[in-house]
Amino acid sequence: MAESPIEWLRAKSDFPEWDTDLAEQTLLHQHPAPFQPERALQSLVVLQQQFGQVSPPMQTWLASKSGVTVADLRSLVSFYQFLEPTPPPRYHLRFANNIIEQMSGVNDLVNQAREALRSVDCIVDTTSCIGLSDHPIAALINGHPITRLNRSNIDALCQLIRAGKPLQEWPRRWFDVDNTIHHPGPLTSYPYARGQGLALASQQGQQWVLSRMEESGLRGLGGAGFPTAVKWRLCGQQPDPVKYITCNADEGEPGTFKDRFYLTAQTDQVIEGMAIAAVAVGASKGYIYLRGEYLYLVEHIEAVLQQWRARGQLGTGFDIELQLGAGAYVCGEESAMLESLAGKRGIPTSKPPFPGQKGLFGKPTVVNNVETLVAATYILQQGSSAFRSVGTEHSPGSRLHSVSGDCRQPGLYELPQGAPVQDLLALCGAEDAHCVQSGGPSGALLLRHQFQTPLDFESPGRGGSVMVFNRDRSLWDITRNFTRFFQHESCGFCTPCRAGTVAMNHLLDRYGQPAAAGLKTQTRVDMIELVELMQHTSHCGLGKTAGLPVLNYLNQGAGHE
Amino acid sequence: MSDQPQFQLDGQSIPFQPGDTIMQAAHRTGVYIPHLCFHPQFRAHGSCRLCVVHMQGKTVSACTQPASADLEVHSETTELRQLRLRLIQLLFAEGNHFCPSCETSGNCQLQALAYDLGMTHYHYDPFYPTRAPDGSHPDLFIDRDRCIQCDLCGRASEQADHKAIYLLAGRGQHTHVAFRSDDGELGSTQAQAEDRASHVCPVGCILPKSGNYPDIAGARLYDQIPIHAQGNHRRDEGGTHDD
Repeated sequence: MAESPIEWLRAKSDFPEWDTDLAEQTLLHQHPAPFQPERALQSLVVLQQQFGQVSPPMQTWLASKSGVTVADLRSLVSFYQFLEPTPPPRYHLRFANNIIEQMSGVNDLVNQAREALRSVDCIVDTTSCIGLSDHPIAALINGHPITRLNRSNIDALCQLIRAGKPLQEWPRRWFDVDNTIHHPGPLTSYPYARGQGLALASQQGQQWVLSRMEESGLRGLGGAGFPTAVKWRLCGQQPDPVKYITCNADEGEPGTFKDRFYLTAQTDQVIEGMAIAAVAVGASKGYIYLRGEYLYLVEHIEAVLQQWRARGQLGTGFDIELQLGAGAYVCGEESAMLESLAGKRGIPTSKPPFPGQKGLFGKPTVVNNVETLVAATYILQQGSSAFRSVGTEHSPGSRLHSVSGDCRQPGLYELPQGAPVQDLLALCGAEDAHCVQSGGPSGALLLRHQFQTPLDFESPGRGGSVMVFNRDRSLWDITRNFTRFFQHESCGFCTPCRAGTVAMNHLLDRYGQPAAAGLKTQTRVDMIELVELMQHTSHCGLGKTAGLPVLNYLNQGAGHE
Repeated sequence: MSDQPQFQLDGQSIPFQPGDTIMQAAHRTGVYIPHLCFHPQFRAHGSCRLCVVHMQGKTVSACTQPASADLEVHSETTELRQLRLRLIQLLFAEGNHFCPSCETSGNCQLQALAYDLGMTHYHYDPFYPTRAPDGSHPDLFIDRDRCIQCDLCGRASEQADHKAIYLLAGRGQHTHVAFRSDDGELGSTQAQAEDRASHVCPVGCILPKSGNYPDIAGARLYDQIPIHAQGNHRRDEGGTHDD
């Protein structure tokens, strides 16, 4: 029965029978107090990995241990896609169905796998982008990533499944994730001295750190571009002595995978950034919220956290806990993430109050993206003027772009803020690019004649996720992929997003049908009106921007169907 | 009264107390802002979005937006009425609402607001969802097809009945009302017909099993006086009307 603390993380296809002793042991290995009500979601995630399911008897057991009702646990299971109440198949193969995978032929692969795996104990289905668009086609098998699948190696994979081969015996290279930086910049190549920035912060104190951050002009690199110093100051000013630092590692924006790199290769800088933020606001506890798709990074991150504790840089005065999401894009929205961290469904909360005033467990909370924290560490060690030496006046510094799609070298590229799209395209070998989707599905669609658009917070092409498409790609397919994505990922809280994302797909499907010109014109008008309705009335950013792909298509895509 | 801070709502001065939302202040003053998920006795939810108003160049929900002095808020504009109409139409399209046969017809806030906003058709293709009903309770029937996910039952059950029976589960279009019992059925909870939560539903989702259709058409709650003139009520809310 004895097992290693991280046994639950291992890729496995032989799930143990439900056993309350094993369950308790597993949960206790993972956390000293796993039955606190706010840990319910985390316990479900751990049990899901350990037993391949969170069945009704398991929920009943967890309810009796935690005091959270079975109905509340059921409501969590019904919200988070990776929690399964039914007995697990031996293999659960989830293909990423982002547009990049679709272009690479994931639909054919799904059909091929389903055909080959008929009457085998295996479920083949799809999931939203899993942060591996630079290794298409990617899939998760029992929660672990498999990369670079194609028509030929899928046969070998299906054969292993048909033979019932345990996952541990599968070729290791299938699980390889490459984190090469194709074009490094300040954040990814400076001579980092671990702990130096934090030591300086601790010596100089709160106000000094805030001033350095202000001078740097750093803006949140998760996408919204909110000034980091303002965020930290607001949180620091709150009278409540209990404050939290949270790291948003719920990297769900289709086409993005920079956090995968930072959390693998620059984990120290992420942790140090959190510790610096803790000094700046006076926090004693931090959380990393890692998307469930990045389960395979947990062991490494935990090990690095342990090194920090062993050196005494964490654990005294400030400590960090790692928590996992479970397949819900909306949890990347900061208030939804805080709800999820508190063990609830990831429903965004009303603002105001802002997280800096009232966040996790009702306490003032800083929410920063992984890359923002890396930049904070850089600023404290190298100085704010070094940070500002690249980038633009209003978008200082640099950032990593995740490039995927039609180019010779998909992957990670660090460029100064404000660099034009065409520079990035030249670097990644995308001479034939016809258009680029910049900033994720709700970002900007830039056509060839707009490739001089700068990638910064002031222009539509914010970057971050940069998906490249050549002339053969159908903008219609791209748009439908994005609108289906938003329908799937809407949290369902507010009317315009819950019902609007569905209605948008109805309208788009109607628009794609052969129809009289009059009906087509009317459908177009209805779609534009619905985009605006969602923009103006939705509760959070997801709903507000979920209609934008359609607007991009109607404005830019005409004639490129 | 005169030193009380005020904001402007469609040109009218609305006094407010510290901590008020725009909706709370307007409601107290007797100015109607269309809504479904708001109820003055329960904490705000902000999900139906019908109370969207314009202020400082933004569109916000009046039920969650804190009031502040000298705000200029616009509610009864052509543009906002059109947004609200479309939201109501989305609510109709995503459920299965058959007004002519519905027990709540004439007493339904969704229907009353639809009339108020001049709704004549669905506009969006109906979704025709298949949502499981719950008939396990001796006195109450749950028709999830008519639910608008407003969580008023959840809030009333928690804040007024202190039972916390109702909750929302699922995600996206699969969001649904659920019950805190081991088997998930309402009949296995402590719910009672007299509970506040049994009478707070603004639509026809939580229904009594007997005594339906008590009034003939013409004598029902919203038959004579439109909702904007009398506010959001439930015929059977038992004297604890919304204002």
